[in-house]
Amino acid sequence: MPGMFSKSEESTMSTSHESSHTVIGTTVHIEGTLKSDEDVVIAGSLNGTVTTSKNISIHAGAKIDGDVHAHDVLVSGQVTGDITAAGTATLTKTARVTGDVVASNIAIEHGAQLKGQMTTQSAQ
Amino acid sequence: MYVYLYDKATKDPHYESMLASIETRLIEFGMNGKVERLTVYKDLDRVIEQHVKKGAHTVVAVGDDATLRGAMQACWNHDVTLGFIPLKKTEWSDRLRLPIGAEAVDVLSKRLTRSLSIGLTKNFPILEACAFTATPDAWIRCDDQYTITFTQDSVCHIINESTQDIDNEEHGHTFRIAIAPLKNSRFKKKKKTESTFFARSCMIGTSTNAIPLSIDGVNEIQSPAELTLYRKHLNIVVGKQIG
Repeated sequence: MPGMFSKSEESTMSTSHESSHTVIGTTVHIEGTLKSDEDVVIAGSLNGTVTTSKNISIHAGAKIDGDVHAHDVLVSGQVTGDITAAGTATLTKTARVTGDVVASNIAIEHGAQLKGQMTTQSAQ
Repeated sequence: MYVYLYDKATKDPHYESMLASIETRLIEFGMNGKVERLTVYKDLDRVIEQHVKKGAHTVVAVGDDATLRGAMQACWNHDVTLGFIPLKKTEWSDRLRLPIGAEAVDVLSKRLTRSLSIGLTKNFPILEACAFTATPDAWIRCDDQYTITFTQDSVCHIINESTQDIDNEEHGHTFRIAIAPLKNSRFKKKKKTESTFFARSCMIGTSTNAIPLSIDGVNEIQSPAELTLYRKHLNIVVGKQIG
């Protein structure tokens, strides 16, 4: 059985501490409420809420069914839920958002799709 | 009272002079104590327990990482401070910022310590990591808040951050869950991404057959299993650059 103590595992695993970011990779799915005090990167899928006091990056191909709360939010994937950013919410050209976006600043690239309301408000 | 655990490496003639200088330095510092020469016949847990009953306060592994790991496994549930005198540069000597040989005795004498969290599952300590291969019917429940499931076979390590990132006290007392897909077949072109999560407790299970979980590469248990952070800590002597 592969493990960090054997040399024979076939894996791209790196067990060294490279980052304190939470990363939801493309091969996992999350159900529930994910809370963090660090940056969160989402390349996989999540059904639930994700909250951090720092920043969230949602990669192209990622799917979130639920709300997103962060300081800055960068969306390149699919979000079905509300996005709340104390700082800036950015929707890139591959973003597909169904829900409301509330942020101090909102930036939308040509090609991004949003079905919902946009509200800019002062940082809380 | 100090207890020194000598592993088989100390019998290597290559280390003879280093060992002599270590022992001389220990005497100079008044740190001489009991020596236990480790063999396959000795039950280290029992040896440590007996020494603790007689008043041992510091257990020192003399040798390499395997010696230190054995000492950690034996000492985790006792009120002792752990020390390490490496005979060569190792992963743990780097982590603890320790010099090798007699210079490590100087560090030991200063008794700068770090408190390491100990993970626990089914009465086994998790000093470094729990590793297993997850299939799509496996799951990890984290902090009773969210559940991780897998779209393909993946290698999972639930790592005791306290013993991996000794410099970083902020992240120290938590598990880091590192997930990587097993290598893609040559026909798959899409690059997969590793995943990283942080949690203070995890529950590992499957919807079908139990899976084996390797604890520190020493013990093996079966799922379902709950991994938590134990209320006690293990104090270990570190080099002066830490803290």
